[in-house]
Amino acid sequence: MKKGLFIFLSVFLVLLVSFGMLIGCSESLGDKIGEATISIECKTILNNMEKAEQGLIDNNLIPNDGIILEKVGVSIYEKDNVYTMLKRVCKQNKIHLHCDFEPVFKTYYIKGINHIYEMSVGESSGWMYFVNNEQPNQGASLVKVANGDEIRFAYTVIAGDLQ
Amino acid sequence: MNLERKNPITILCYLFFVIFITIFSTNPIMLGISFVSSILFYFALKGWKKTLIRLAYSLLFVAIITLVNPLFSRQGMTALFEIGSLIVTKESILYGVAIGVMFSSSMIWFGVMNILLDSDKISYIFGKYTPKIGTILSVSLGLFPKYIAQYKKIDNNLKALGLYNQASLWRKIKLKMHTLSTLISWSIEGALTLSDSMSARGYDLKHKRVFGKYHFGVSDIILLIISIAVGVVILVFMGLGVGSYYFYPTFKPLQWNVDVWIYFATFCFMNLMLAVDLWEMIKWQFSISKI
Repeated sequence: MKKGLFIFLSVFLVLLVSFGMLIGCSESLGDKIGEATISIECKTILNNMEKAEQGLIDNNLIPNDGIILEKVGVSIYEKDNVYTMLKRVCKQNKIHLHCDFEPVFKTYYIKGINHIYEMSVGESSGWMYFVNNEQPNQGASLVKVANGDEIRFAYTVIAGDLQ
Repeated sequence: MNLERKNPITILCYLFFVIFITIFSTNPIMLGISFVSSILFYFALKGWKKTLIRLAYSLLFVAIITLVNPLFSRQGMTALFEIGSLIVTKESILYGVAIGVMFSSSMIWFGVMNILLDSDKISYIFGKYTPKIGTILSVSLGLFPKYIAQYKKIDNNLKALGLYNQASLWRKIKLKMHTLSTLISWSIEGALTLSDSMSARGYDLKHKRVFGKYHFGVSDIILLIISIAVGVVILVFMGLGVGSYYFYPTFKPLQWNVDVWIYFATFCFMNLMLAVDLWEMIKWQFSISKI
C-alpha cells in the first residue's frame, strides 16, 4: 500500500514539475524598433497532393492557393526574433502553431503550422524560413529581425524545391 | 483439446500474428477487440484474482500514458484548455488512451504467451534449428523465477534472524543490499554448477536433439493453416488501408463499409478461434472450489 502511494505521489510530482516548466514566464519585449512582414505558404504541397497524409486532405487543411497567411506587417520589439514574431502573428490570426524547444541547438524547432506537420507530405518535408529571400543557417529563435525585413515561412516537400 | 497440450509451433505462430496485428493497428475498434480477447484468454488461463490484478495494472498504465501524452504531443484541432504554452487537445488525450490500450493488450498477450510457452517448449521450438539460442532463452527465462524465490529465501532468513527488528531505514536498505550481494554470489556459484552439469549431460554435443513429446497432429495442422491464412488476410487488409485510422489533426470518422466489417470480423475470429478450448477453461475456472 505504501509503495503504491509512493509511486502515485512521485508521478504526480513529476507531472506538476513539468507543468510548471511548460507554463514558463512571459517577458516584456521592450520598445518598438521597426516593422517587418511575415508570410506563410505551402505551395509546394499542391504539386504533391498524392503524398499528403489523408487527414490533411479530409479536413481541407491545405488551402487551394497554397497561401496560409498573406503578407502582413508586424511591429518589431527590442527582444524580438523570428520565432517570437511568428508566434505573435499566429496568435493574432488564429493559426495553429506547434514548436518545440531543442536544448541541443538552444533554439525552437517549428514542427507544424496550420496542422501541417513535418513529414506529413513525404519523408523529407518540413517547414523552412527565409529572411529577405535568404536562408539563415540558424534556428528561428536565434535570428534577430531588422527594420523592413521580409520573413517568409514555406513548406518544403523535396529538398531544394524552395527558392 | 487442451491449449497447453497443442504443438508449441502452432501456438507461437498464432500468438505472433495476433501480437503483430495488435501492435500495428491504430483503429480503436481493433484495439478494443484485442484488449477484450486478451483479457478473456488471461482469465481462462489464470483465474479471477490474477486477471483483476493485471487489469488494474493495465488501467493504471493507460491512465499514466493518457496524462503524459498531452505533455509531449500538442497536435490536434480541438483544444480543451490551455496552461501557459501547453495546449491540451482532445485528440492527444484520446491518442494516449489508444496507445495505452494497445501497449497493455500486447503486454497481456505476451503474458499469455509466457504461460502457454514455458522454457521446455521454447527450447523445443528453437532447439531444432538454432540450439544455442534455444538453450540460452530457455535457461535465462528459467532463471528469473529461481532468483526471485532465492531472494525471498535469503530475505526471510535475515528476518528470522531478527536483523530487521527495530532497524532504521538506512540499516534496512543495507540489509537489502546484503541480500542482493548474497544472491549474486549464490547465482555465480550456481551458474558454474549449471554449466558443468549441462556439459556433462551433453548439451554442447554437435548433434544433440531436444526432447519434446509434442505431437504434430491434425488439429495442429488445421490450426496452423487457419491462423496463417487469417493472419495474412488481415495483413493484406491493413496493407490496402482498410480500417486505417488517424487521430491527428482530428479523428477520422469511423467507416462502416462491408470490407471494414469483414476486417473486424476476421480479427474477432482470429482472437476467439480457440474458443472451444477457452470455453472449457473458463468453465474450469468457475468450477474451482472457493474453499
